[in-house]
Amino acid sequence: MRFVLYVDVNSMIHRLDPRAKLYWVLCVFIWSMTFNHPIYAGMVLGIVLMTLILAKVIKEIKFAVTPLAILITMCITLWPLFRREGTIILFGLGFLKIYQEAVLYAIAVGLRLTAMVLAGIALLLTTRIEELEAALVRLKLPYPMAFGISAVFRFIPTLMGDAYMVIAAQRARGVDPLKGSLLTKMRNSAIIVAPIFMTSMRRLSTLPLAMESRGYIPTASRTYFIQLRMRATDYLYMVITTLLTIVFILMRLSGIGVVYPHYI
Amino acid sequence: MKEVVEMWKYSKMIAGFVLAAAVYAVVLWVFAPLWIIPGVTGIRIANILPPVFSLLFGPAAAWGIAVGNLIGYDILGGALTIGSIGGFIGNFLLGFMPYKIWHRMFKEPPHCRSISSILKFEFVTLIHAAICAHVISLWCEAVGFVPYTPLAFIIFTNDFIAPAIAGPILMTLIYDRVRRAGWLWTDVMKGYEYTPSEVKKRWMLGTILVTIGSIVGLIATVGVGLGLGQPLFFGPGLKFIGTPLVVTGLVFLIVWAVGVALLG
Amino acid sequence: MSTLIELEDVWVRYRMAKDYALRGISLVIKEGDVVGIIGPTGAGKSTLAKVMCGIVPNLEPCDEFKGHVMVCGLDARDVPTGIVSRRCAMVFQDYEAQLFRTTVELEVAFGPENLELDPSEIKRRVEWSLRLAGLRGLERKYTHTLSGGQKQRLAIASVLSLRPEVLILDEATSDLDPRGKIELFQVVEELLRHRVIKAAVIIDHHLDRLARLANRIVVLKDGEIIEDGPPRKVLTKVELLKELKLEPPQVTELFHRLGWPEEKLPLTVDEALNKRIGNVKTTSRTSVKEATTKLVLKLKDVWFHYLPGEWVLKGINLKVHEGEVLGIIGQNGSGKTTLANIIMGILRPIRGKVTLFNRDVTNQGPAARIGIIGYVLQNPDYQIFNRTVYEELAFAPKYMGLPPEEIDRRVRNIARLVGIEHLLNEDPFFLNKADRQRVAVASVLTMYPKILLLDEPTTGLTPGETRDLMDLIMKLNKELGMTVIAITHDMNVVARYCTRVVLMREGRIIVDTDTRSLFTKLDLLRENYIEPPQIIEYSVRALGVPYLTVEELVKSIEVIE
Repeated sequence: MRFVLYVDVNSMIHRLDPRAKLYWVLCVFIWSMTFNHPIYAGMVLGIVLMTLILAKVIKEIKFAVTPLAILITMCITLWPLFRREGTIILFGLGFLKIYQEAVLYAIAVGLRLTAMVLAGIALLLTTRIEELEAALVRLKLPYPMAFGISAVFRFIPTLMGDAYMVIAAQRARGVDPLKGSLLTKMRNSAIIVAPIFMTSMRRLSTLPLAMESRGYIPTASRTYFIQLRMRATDYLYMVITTLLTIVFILMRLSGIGVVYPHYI
Repeated sequence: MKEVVEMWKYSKMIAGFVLAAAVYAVVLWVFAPLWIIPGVTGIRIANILPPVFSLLFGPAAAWGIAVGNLIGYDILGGALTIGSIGGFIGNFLLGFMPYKIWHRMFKEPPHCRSISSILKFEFVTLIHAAICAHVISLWCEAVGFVPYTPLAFIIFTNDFIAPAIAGPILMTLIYDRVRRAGWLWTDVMKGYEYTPSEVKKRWMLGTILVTIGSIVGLIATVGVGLGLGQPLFFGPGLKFIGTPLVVTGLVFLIVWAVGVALLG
Repeated sequence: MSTLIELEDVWVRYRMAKDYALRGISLVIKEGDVVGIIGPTGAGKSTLAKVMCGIVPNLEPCDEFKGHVMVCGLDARDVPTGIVSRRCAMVFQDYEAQLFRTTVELEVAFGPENLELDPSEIKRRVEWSLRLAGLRGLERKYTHTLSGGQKQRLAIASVLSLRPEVLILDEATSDLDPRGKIELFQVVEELLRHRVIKAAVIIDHHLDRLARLANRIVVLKDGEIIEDGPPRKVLTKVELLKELKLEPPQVTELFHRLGWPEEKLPLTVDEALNKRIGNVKTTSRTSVKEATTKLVLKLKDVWFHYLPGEWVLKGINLKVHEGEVLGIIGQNGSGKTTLANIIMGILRPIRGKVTLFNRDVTNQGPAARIGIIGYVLQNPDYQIFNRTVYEELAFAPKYMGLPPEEIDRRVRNIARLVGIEHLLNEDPFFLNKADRQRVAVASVLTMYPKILLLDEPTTGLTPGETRDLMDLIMKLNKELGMTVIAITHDMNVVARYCTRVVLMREGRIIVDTDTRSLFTKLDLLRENYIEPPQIIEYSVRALGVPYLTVEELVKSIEVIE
């Protein structure tokens, strides 16, 4: 189990300010939504893949292949059933008609999804959690929230270790979440969740005391150890990203890169 | 509603948020889904937690479930997309809806030790599953991700079956512990009622609207997705940007939002 | 010397509590003081510590708080905990819960950030604190990847960056293995020597270690101070300490039992070596009888890994005979818990064979061991979840499908045996740790296992509680002939109770011998960061042979009149 996706290599992308990278991810989301023709959606995916290569982390996306494959398969099989319009019928059986446009659309959605997932992963592979936290705080996310979110990252591995011990202890007395009928499995799982929760609650009961006894007051102002500074390259990167966004939206508005003009 | 923001002023609520989010993410990872239709829909044990946490930790659970899902599923699982926004809101509602209805409507505590308490638990569970399924699926349909109808079905079964069956088991095991350890949200945030001393008329109306907006909304939108009533409501050949489905969904979402506003 | 902390007639009663946690405590801590606070469970030690750093009454709700608390010139009741903690910082028992940031440097920076210091000053303080705590080079490491000892050091570093004048450690070493404990005390010694902190308050059960570090010992009982003085004066009151179920240093107890007057009693092994105790009849020493009985469990060449290529167990061969009390020792990460999970069938060996009562169970899960092996884990919370102790005890037999009368008989039987009859209707979640651990043992015993497998059962218990629990387990061993396999860090437990010991290191068994022979190899133990009990070190160095307990040595001595 990998709790931290960040890969420590020195690349141009790694060195970017986390705010610039967040902006890029946001723009990739917009680009992906702009086109619904497979070729153009593929172009967006291409940009993301190139970024991953630039960041020297392209090999690290292996772990996402299986879940992505499931997601894409689901898209490609489902969309043609629900986009029942177009001009060319590929396959017809009574009520059920599959249109060529719908199939193209489905493929485009699959590519679009892949681009977005990989953009998100690219962000996490090249940016440390604490940099993201600092970026979000600078972008005016209230500190208690940012603090709380990174504390969740901190505690997941610890509580997961506890959870495996609880499962071991309960299996040793005959409560097995993998045995029996569906109902038995559910009952056993609920029983195991109870001690997992109670162990965690006992552990985290020290947390508010520990926070405050280190001088923390949720409503007070504070300074920050991690300093972020936007450099020229960051601004350049954001300008290029913005230009691409404008170009893509203009293309879409003039009808380029779409199968269904009236759908996103 | 203001408790959702105010909770960040309390160290112990922040700890409750960390607890809810981390345990939710851990349970998401530790238990493999019990498949009903393999690969498509199954029972996720983690889904037992949102209504239970909601009724115990209040707003900390709303944020906790939203962030726990974002980290446990989207970030660690590498599935951060534009769909994650819908996922965040939908999961927030999973943790928001149960306590919101309960602390306005039901004078009995949610200990699940009496038939009436269990029935009320099942009611808020039904609402929370319906509104979550509605919001996420509507978002995914609107942004051209996954069609509404199958996704709504999957999310609804996911979020309803497991907590409906196993939620009360877990609740009976942990309610007293959480209360005695001083973690109930109203014990930390003074000035809020855990159960109402009197049920105001507008709260009743709010609950009715929330029920219509979520449950009727879900059924009606699924109906449109399956091609029912489309000519009736929108006339043949009428094309929006988007679909009649999104419009139907939005109308019910507004009804629901008015209901929530009345609940205050 | 200036006064740092002053408590005057402090009374504390927690919300909904029937009784006072502190009753009229007056205490002055001056510069240079290293105060050890000791006392039985529930005496108010933690409450006292929390009062000194402003957590009580500011953060923990009290129905009643009386008295004056001055901390480094601040009235602790008037200022928030966040301010008091800058002067007087506390390290809590569970180090996991007090580390809440993702990386080492952010953890240490958290305090100074709250003080609204300049980023450059924060950086300086982070470097300074990490250097003092011996964590340099780990700045950007993720907290969850650190070892237990490192996490504990980080907990200290993260309060040091607030630049407190007083450091309070509340049982900060009880979850650590022997190596971690030694390291932590070294850090505190160094901080005091370099005058980084002006005074320290240490709550710890291990009086022999406290004797080395503290220059003042305060004994609490029922919320009152009953003794306060230098270690030499307090720790030599052997009868009093034993009455409070605290274990005095073993050499002190030895010389006390030999009739030496209080003022001449030694506290450390080195002191004891300078005194003559008399003739020792080494012949009277009873040797452990060989276990020649039936073989109950056999592991043959067992290999295991979680990730391919990273072997956690490397060819374990182990035979356990009926009626044995086998201790498994070794540093954290040596594979002890993995071995226990293999024995229980929770993990299955990649290679090798596990035989239980002549039945091959290598590829069978825990279900095949229920009623044969009972497994008790380090943290009772992993096991306990039912609403009452009775339901907890009845849970496993119910799952085994036994008839209700039989279940009830078993529950009452075991509750009597374990001594928890009076707790049957209580909610186990709110019992103290020692009682919860008893409930955990009892809930396994109702399956009537033939082998009891314990994974660090005494962690976090006081020496008195440890002894009670282990005495109980020995009763099961003697009266029911139950075979006991215990993973433990506590060498007193090994010396006092185990007939045979297995020492593990990096997934291998490197020593498998009877307990007495193990303790003749002091150097080998040191190499594995295992500290033998005082009495063994003393007897080996003074007499050349290990005596496992004080009683044993006392019996063998002919006192010179």
